[in-house]
Amino acid sequence: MELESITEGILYAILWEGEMDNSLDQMGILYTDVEFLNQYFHENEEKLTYYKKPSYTPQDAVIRTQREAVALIQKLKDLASDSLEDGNSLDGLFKQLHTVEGYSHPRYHTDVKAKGRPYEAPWIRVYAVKCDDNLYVITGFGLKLVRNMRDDPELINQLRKLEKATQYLRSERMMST
Amino acid sequence: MKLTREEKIARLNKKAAPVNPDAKWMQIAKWNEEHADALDDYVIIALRISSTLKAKKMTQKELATQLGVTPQALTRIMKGRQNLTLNKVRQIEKILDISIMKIDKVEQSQVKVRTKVKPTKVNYNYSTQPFWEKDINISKFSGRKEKKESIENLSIAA
Repeated sequence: MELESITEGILYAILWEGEMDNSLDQMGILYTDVEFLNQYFHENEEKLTYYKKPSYTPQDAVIRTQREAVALIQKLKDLASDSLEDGNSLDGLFKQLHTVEGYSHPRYHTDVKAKGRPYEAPWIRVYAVKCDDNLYVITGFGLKLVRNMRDDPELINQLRKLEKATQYLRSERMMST
Repeated sequence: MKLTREEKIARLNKKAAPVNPDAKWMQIAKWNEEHADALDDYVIIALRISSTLKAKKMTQKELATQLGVTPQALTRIMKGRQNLTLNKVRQIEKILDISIMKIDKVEQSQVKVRTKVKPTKVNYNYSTQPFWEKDINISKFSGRKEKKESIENLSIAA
């Protein structure tokens, strides 16, 4: 496990062993890639049935995911480039994971509340560990199409990553124990 | 153990690789900004090509050859990350026998109406002086309206 600075003193991302890119780069690459998304939603069409209102075809899902990703990346870029003087803060972007039993503070996911959010309830999630106010470490990402993370093996894997990252950050004294 | 924010940041910075200004996510963000108006179009075009290739059982390599582009360039189109010219879109439409850039009927009719308008031929009589060189009877210009009309008349009659 390696750490990469996204914005020093504010945002970091984990580069997991055996992976080419850190979690933020991966999210940006995959969720704006129409070819990847098209294949993903065709191969995982049953996941779209979890998401009932409104119903989505794989092609609709591609368009939605790409739009969400563009908005999320833009928001992160704005936060990275603007100083925090105008009240911008990652604390407004990351919301506490509260729907998962046994998982509470300090595990967080993104919920783009700010301008540019194209949908009411975004399904792209960027998972992060909160080390302090406005200080986060991104651990992974996923598409939350189910009510509970435990209903999707890919999201269960994200929970494991959050757990592993928390242990690491605590052991390295990058967050309070 | 309670740590201050500064302590945490110092440890994170010590361990983490420095900020990469050319990070992939940042490059994507910049490209998205530059192509913001066309991003949706690129996505829809890519999806349309993909479904047509599947229906026609045609490979991307075959399409690339017919389009005269490298497989890498076509891959970028399929990923929605290629700036497309109208000419290239028309080429794709022709090869795949599909319509990507539709013009609505209303718009089409407007185009027809516009093209029906024939340019009016204006005959300029160059033998006469241009209006700004004509002798103008100043006494005629008693008011603003008259002045305007007179100028209009001159411009038409000239």
